[in-house]
Amino acid sequence: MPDPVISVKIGDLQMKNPVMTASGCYGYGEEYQDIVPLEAWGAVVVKGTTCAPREGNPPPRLVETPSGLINSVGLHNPGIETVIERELPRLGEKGVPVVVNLAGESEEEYIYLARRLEERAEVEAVELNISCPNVKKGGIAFGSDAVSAGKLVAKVRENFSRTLLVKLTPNVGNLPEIAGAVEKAGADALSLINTLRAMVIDIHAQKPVLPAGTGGLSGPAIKPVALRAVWEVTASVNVPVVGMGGIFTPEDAIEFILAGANAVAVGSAIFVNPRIPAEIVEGINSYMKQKGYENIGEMVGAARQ
Amino acid sequence: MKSIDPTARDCYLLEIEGVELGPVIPGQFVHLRVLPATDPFLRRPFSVHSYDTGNRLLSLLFQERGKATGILKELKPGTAIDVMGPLGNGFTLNGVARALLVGGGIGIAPLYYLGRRLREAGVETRMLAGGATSLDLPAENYKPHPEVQILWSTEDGSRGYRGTVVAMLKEHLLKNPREETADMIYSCGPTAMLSEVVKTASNHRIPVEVSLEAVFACGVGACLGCVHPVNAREGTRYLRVCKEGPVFNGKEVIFDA
Repeated sequence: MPDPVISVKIGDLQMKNPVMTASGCYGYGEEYQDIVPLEAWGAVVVKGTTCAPREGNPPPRLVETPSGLINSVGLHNPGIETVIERELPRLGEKGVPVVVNLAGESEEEYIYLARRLEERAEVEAVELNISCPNVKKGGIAFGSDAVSAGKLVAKVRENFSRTLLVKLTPNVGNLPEIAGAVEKAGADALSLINTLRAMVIDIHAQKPVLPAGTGGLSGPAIKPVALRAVWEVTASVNVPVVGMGGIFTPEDAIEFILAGANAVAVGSAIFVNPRIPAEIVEGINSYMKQKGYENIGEMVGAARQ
Repeated sequence: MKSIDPTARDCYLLEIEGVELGPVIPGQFVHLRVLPATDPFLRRPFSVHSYDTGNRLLSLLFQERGKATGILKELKPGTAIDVMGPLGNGFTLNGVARALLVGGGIGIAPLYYLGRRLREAGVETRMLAGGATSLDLPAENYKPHPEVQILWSTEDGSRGYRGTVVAMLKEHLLKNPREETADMIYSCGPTAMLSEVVKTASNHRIPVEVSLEAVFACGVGACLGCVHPVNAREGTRYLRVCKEGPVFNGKEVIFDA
């Protein structure tokens, strides 16, 4: 029996396998170069990038929880111009599709960022970050309301012709409604989910461990929530979905696909096991052989039938 | 994993064999996956306490502080451990003739490997090591190299100088002429102590390098979770302890942020 087909297409983003990096967990692709080749990924989604450089939130920025990690990095990044000059040319040579995660404080900023990348052939897709829980302005304010999310996505859509993904927050009560508005506004795909707002209190100091009070929870602890989000959204939305949130094993990735995700992204699990993309690819391959699937598309949403 | 032995109260020497690290600079760290499970979730960084390139033997000195180190100290010889490294920037070894190493508590861990390497390179090396009591320090004959002198301090006076290692450092620098003490100070220990060591070194116009500690997630500079404020040309910058550090020029580190 020939190897099953695991390549996927999200919008015009053609990936040799369905495993992507989750934004913020793989830097700009350089940091892990000595440990695991970039080429192991179906696509690389780089760090959330803003118009101006940002130094991010004051430390401490991390706190570990049972099977999870809360971060309050606060979009620490060198800004779009440095990313264009220094990171994109290098990334573009690797033969792996590059997706840039964009975070703005206003509609104008999102449009500016999208226009700057429209000019850059190395970038095959952008992922609109309207879901970062760690910055005060912009971002999640757009992602928490169906009308403003739709309006923003429509504006960016007018300014970016290649694949447009939109990353949504689970910290809302009407996720399918927001997803629907984003789809209607012209998004090619949805990334589900960003981190869950969470906190830890230091009982000796009697204050939150993170200076910002709260941060975003990732890791295996949030996987059941992420899976539910993919399940609910794919019931009513037709654009492809990239499922993410706590994927730690090949079986986790398979669950997301069965729930309705067309591809998956891995975040904090990279920190623990940088070899995870190859392991997931192998796990999906053997699962498909065992179940008699020839193409990964046949598996998408299979849990619903 | 080859062996684990207690060295002081809550402190253990872990030896792992068959670890291919290549060249290691003192001050660099390894990132360990303690268990193939999700709790504890993250890897844990440990500075290299000793590494033997020839027989690929890695030693780590650690203090039990929580769940991960509690699991680590119970590991049985023969258990496989996933080791990533060496990572980060180590201490500067070149251009030093007389070195003073100042360690507080478990902060002595990287200084042993540094002391050995400096001495092997012909550098006159002295180590000041402090703990709360003698029970918190390794055996008196536990030395990085036979020719490295260790001056011990304990806060209760149960071994060596009575007082903190910083107090001992201040006295040492006052009593001895500069040309006989050090042209470089290297330090590792609690942040409050490092801050004092840097002030003292600055008062004596001696360059100082410090090894910082932070919670790490990735360990390779990708997640930006472990930053520490540092004075740079362009103002205060949040630098990654795992990548630009863990060793920094002490005079650039901002301690009271």
